[in-house]
Amino acid sequence: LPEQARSAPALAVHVVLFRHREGAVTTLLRSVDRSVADAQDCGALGPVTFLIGDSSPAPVLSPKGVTRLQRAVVRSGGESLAYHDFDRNRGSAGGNNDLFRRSDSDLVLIVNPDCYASPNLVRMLCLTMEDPEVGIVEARQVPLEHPKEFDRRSGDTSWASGSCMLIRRRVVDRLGGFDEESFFMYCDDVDFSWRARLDGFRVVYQPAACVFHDKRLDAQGQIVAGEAEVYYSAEASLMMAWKWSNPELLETARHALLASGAEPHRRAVETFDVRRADGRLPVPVDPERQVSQFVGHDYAVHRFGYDD
Amino acid sequence: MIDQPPAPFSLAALVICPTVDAPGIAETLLSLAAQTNAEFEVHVIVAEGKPSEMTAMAELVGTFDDTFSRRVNLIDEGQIGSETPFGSGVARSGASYVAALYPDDVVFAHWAETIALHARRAGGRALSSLVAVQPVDEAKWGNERIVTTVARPRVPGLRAFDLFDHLGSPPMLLRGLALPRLTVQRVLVQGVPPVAEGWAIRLAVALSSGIVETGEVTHLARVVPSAGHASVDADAWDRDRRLALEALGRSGLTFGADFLGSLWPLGYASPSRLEAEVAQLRAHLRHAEEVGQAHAEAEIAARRQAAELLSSASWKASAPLRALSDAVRRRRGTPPSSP
Repeated sequence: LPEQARSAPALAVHVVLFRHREGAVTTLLRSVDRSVADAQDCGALGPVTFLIGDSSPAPVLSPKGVTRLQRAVVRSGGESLAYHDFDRNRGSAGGNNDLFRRSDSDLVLIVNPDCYASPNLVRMLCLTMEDPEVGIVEARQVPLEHPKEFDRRSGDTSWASGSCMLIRRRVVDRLGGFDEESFFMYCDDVDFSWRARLDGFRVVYQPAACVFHDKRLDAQGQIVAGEAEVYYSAEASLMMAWKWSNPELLETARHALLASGAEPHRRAVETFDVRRADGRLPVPVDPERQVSQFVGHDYAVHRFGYDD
Repeated sequence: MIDQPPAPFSLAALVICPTVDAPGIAETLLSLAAQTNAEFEVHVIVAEGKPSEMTAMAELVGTFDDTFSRRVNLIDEGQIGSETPFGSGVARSGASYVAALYPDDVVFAHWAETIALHARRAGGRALSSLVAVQPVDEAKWGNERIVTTVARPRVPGLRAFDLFDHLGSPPMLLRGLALPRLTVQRVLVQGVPPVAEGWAIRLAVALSSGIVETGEVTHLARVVPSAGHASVDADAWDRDRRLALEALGRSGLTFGADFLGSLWPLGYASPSRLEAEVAQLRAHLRHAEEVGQAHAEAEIAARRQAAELLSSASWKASAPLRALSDAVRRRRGTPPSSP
């Protein structure tokens, strides 16, 4: 480690895989590794470990691939790389919770496997975290930036996207990680951000920390979404309305999903109804709307919508 | 069509960068580094590159991880001796296809993969992908310069190359195209004004090799609405376009030397005259199509009526007549008509 980085906070980098390509993981890790070195060089970051969790039915990384990555990480100054095959699909929330328990680093960087870190990503995120009030810092996504609004001076924002976010360990400890019982994937990050804010932490957008996230547009300019995304985002929207004490929105969303006629939407409503009937829903929080922000079907004011 | 045998596919990204200080150039490079298919060359052409600019660009490239930065070739335009930055990149590239990117551009992760997929079955033709356009604001954020998106990206509809449309269109860049390099080298002719380069190359490539639409959105152009874009001086563009057409016509590489001359300038005093005639032709064509459509509908209606006459309903109507003729046949000893 460079001299100036020895007293800097330690970082664990989390990547949760599900049927991704080994090559994509290698490319991502190379980019994060480079970005980490940049942050260490300027003294913003100390030692770094990489934790990869795999929810795929068959392991994404071969033993040789893991060894190759471990050698590459150590060669470039990283502490270690560990690969954990979960044996089942834990979703993003459960996968990250599992990885949270495997390190005690000061900071955790969660990054999606379909991302690529810009050279200054980690440095810019870490510098923002120097403010002790900040609990979560979110990176700006390229090519399709998330359209939620942020304070143009402080960067404060309603919630941070889990595609690429830096989290202070203290936030994880206080919140007990993501609410994996309620959110398998999608909105686990919104819920986590709002709980952090409810606990007094700031959630900040850092537009100068750039991450490439592989999102695509169809010929009509709409973001391409798979069936799993349609299903889990529908399920999560119902759960958000329930958990964050918005019964009117819950009923509106429920009816809208059923009226859409889409099979994934119908299944999402059915699953939610069964959970409600079985008493397996979380206790609603924030009845006074201290932090929760429902704007239409969004959880923040958006500058625009990709489906406008 | 190209007379050389098709070369094995390879791709070169030519990043045309007027200055290292160009906003967005770091994100252009980031999007190239993040490709799902990394099998392509990257040439960054620093236009009018001063030594300090070249150094700064080399530093920027050097911030990326080795596997990407090693693939990036920096070109000082001034040392190539080509007329234009794009020409410099083409001259330096050895790939079978070249694609131009500009500092306001980012490409989606499947850009190279899409070009590779389509080029293999394009038979040497150029490829055109859809370019999404998104308005952004530029701002200072501490010491950093950032861009913030202000509206959703829009994707213009798929439009095949149209010669007359093209002849009447304003200057354009080569954004969204992947061009066969050998064809481009043949059509990069002396005498095309730099402002008309993209327009002339697109025209020449379309006529000499053809352009295939991939139908994929692979490219995002970010525009700053508040910056206001330089309006095209119609007279200057008339002159530059004429010069470009004359240069292409003289080259004789893509079509007969007199082909373009016959369109321009002998037959038409000005582009607006040509455009007016094209508009008139289009109006005639539309009218003819409408008349044709009316005829087709009338014919369909007539056929439907004839079919109805032969339907069971009309058979019922003619039943007494059939019975009478059957009775006559029976008397004559001939078989009855079938129902």
